[in-house]
Amino acid sequence: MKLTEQQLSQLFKQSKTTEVDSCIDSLNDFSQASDARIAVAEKIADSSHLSASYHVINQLQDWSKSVATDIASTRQPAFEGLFAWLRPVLATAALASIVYISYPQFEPSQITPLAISEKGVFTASFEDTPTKLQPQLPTKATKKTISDVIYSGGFG
Amino acid sequence: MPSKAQIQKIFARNHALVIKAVSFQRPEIKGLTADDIEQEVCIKLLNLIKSDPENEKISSYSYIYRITANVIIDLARKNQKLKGEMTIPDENDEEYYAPSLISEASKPDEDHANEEMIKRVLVVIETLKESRRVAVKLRLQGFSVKEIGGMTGWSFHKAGNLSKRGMSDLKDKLHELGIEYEIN
Repeated sequence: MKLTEQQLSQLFKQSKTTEVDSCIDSLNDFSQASDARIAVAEKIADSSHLSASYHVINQLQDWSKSVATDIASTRQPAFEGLFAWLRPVLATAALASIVYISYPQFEPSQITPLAISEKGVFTASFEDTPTKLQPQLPTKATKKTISDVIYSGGFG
Repeated sequence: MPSKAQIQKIFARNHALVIKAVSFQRPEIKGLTADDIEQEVCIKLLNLIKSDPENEKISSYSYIYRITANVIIDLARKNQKLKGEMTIPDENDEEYYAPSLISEASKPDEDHANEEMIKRVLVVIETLKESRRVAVKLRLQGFSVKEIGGMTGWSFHKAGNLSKRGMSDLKDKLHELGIEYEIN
């Protein structure tokens, strides 16, 4: 007698025709592998009808994620979405105000002219007269050098 | 808080995913439609919003997934009751979901369909160690290694190992009964 896996699978499914248990919990109630969760998984495997349902349930994971995300986005406060565009405008306005306040504003009448110095300013052109470099000579001693003799008298 | 109109709009936007999921259903649960699923889930969500508008779990994936799972099980149960008994796949269904069902060696003949033999095979399956037994049963129900891992909480590697070793144990035990079993 020979059986392939597909044939065995078909026989198994046909034999597991128990009614869907009304009190079965979703596997999502359990976070990780546990005896309870494995017992639920076996319960599902022991009912072809329930297993077929779980094939659809597994396929609906993406749908559940997408719906949850969409619902979460509708739960945001209404004004957040409504005035979202206003945020950059407000930020720009605040920045402009700061610049306006901090930058000094002068009326022409308020400007006091600077006192003009009467001190003559060198007006000659530096370009017309070539610069003459004076050789650096050692300065002459202004005082006569005193002879370096402390005492010229005799002691005896 | 989303209104009924908003939820319906969200469902309409994601309708293609439900259609895709329902198209995977096998002949055992004929009658389960995308509209049924959406309508029932929508009613449950609106009831929750009505009873507790500030409930955060309405936007959680696990909660929506659990609602959906319960809705599908309820619908499957209703369909099962309406039909009175499970539909055994006919030849056309077989072609639809398992084109490679016919083995190259021989079709399961009358002897294979013998109730006595099926009982013996089921008894053998029940003698497997618990974790291997669960893995084998889920595999025979058509669940992939990834799905077995998701349903039991085992890692992909563990689910794959248990499934493989369980099928190997089953092969040995069936061999003792005089049944040669060919693992895929």
